Amino acid sequence: MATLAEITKKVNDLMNTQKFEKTFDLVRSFVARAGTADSFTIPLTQEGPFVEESYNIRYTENSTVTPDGGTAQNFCGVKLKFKSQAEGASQSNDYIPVQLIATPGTDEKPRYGARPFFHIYPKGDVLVIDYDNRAPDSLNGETYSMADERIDICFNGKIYPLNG
Amino acid sequence: MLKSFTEKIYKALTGRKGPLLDSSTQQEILTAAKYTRSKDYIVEFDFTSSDSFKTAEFTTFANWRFILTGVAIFFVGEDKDNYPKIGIDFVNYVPKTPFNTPVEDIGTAPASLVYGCETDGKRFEEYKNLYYYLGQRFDINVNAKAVTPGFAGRGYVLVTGVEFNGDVGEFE
Repeated sequence: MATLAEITKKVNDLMNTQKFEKTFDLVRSFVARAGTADSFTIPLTQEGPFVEESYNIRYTENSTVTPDGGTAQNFCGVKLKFKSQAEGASQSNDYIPVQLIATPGTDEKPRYGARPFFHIYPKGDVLVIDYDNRAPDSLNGETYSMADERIDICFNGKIYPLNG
Repeated sequence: MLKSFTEKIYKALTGRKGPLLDSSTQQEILTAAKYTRSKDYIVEFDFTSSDSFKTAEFTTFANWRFILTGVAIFFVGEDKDNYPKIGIDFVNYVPKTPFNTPVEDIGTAPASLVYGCETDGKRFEEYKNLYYYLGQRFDINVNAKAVTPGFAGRGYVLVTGVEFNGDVGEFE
């Protein structure tokens, strides 16, 4: 059992450490409007660079696809693309279906945790989220009914305060 | 009481092991972060019950070397018991990849992707491996074939990896 003095020292050390590094979550929830493609942004801190380490995504499945002669099934047709405003270039070559990068996990299924993805954003940068919620082309006579989808994204990482 | 309470909170809050961070370590981390970053490449392809080929050619950013660390596949189309067959051929890579097979010969690797890694309907967990691209351009050839005759579907292959800035030096 540590003494109170030792604990106080640890807490002070922790405070000092956070002058140089502290964990941080950047969160953005938005509605991807049916049949549209648009962008959202998350302004980053002025404290220092943000090093993204992973992210979690949750989405709704309000849209439906009806196979030719079949019954309607719920699905989410949102595709996403991320980029740093300062860098200008996207972190993927094209839009990615949300199912490929979202955090698996529902009430019935286990949660796998965040998807690792590393990227440094300079101090004061803006994280840009592009989305596309337009209906895919029909392949087998199926019909799509696109609906608004709610997307929740949490970027996990660390801020490195400058001049700490 | 206070001591015990504080310690419990402290342990819950931190859990840091090793030396505490200082400014020089901070700079090392930031420098390293500037030279490494994640990158995704997505390939979308339509397929039928005949062999359906799609070639995607990518060019990495100048001076950035790409190391592939995972592949995820997502299908829109056939039902759970009738996943399409798929072969993926990476070009400009070292070493050879187990995905490098024609669609008729596939079995082991893609089947394990399908049946061992289902997570959310038709999404498959990333298949961890390392492929080194020493050039700045690489191609991905996808050959997919629906199991059900007359069926058409759509698939996505997400290739994810890490880029290293070439200024760091040679990685061979």
